[in-house]
Amino acid sequence: MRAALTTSRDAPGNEGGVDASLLEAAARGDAGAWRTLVGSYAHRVFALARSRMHDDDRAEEITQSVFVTVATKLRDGGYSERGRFESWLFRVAMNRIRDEARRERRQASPVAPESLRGVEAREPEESPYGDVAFRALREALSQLGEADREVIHLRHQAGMSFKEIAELLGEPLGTLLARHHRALRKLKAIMGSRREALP
Amino acid sequence: MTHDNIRHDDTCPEIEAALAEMARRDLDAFDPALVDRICLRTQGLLAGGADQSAERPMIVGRIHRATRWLALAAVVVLTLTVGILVSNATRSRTTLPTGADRPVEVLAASLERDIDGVLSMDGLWSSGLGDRIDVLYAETALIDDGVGVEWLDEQVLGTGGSL
Repeated sequence: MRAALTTSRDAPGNEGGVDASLLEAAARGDAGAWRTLVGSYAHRVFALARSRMHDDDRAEEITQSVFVTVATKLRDGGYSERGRFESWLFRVAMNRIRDEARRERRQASPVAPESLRGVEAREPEESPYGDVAFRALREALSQLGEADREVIHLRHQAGMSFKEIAELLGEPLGTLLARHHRALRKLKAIMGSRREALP
Repeated sequence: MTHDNIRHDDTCPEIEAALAEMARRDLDAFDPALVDRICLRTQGLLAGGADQSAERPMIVGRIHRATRWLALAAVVVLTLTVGILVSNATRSRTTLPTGADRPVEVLAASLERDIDGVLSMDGLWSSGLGDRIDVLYAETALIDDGVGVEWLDEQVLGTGGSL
């Protein structure tokens, strides 16, 4: 079954950063259009997943499954967000990451600092920030509440605008900005209490 | 690789900068070949093909449908079974005298319908009633005359027999 893709009349030609015609073409089975779409977003979905899962392989699996879901929805007409493709895509990604995080909590012990060190050990060394500081930052992030952490990851890893995040989470923009600000201050406080110096 | 559209909250610049750097690391860990792998995995999905990973929900749907049909079939079988059991129980009250709590009425009815069944009743011969069966059978015509059950009752109780 293939349903027609609904696009916004208010924002013709643009689907939350993606050309509506590109979405239409991808939904019709145009491999080139679909590849362009995947190429535009896969790295951001991957970064978001990696920041939450601390594991490259799981981040890749999540990214793949997100695009399988997106492709299926596009084919079946399940996408009807009207001009908010990016918000919709990252909502799918966040749901998938939440599921994975829940599964992880059920099956395994809490994230051990060693596992974070494993991630940092694979990362490039040219960063001006020391690995110790990054470990501290990831651990501080893991201490934030789920909602605060999501805002931070969506903002910094997924590179979304506050407006898009507000749409995705269904919250007023002001509330979201305040939450982001509070989350930064909490991170700063946690980092300060750990006496981990950031450059 | 970095995001271009981030405007930093200047309240915690050092935290913002660290988060930006962490995001850069997460983005740099992205393998560009993943785009190929995603396209391979979703190949045929948008073109209406049957990607294996996308079939999982369809299989789940089939299982759900099959479960519904099985549940419906189970309800039908259960209903039929209960119906048959009730039917048998009702029939047995009129035709099977064994264990009946009103032996004389059952016997009277049975004499009319199934003398062989009466003769094979458990406890009939040990009760002594069997010896009088011929007499009872010969006199069942009285049932039709309105004497019926009462008369048989007297006959059975009078002999001390009981089913």
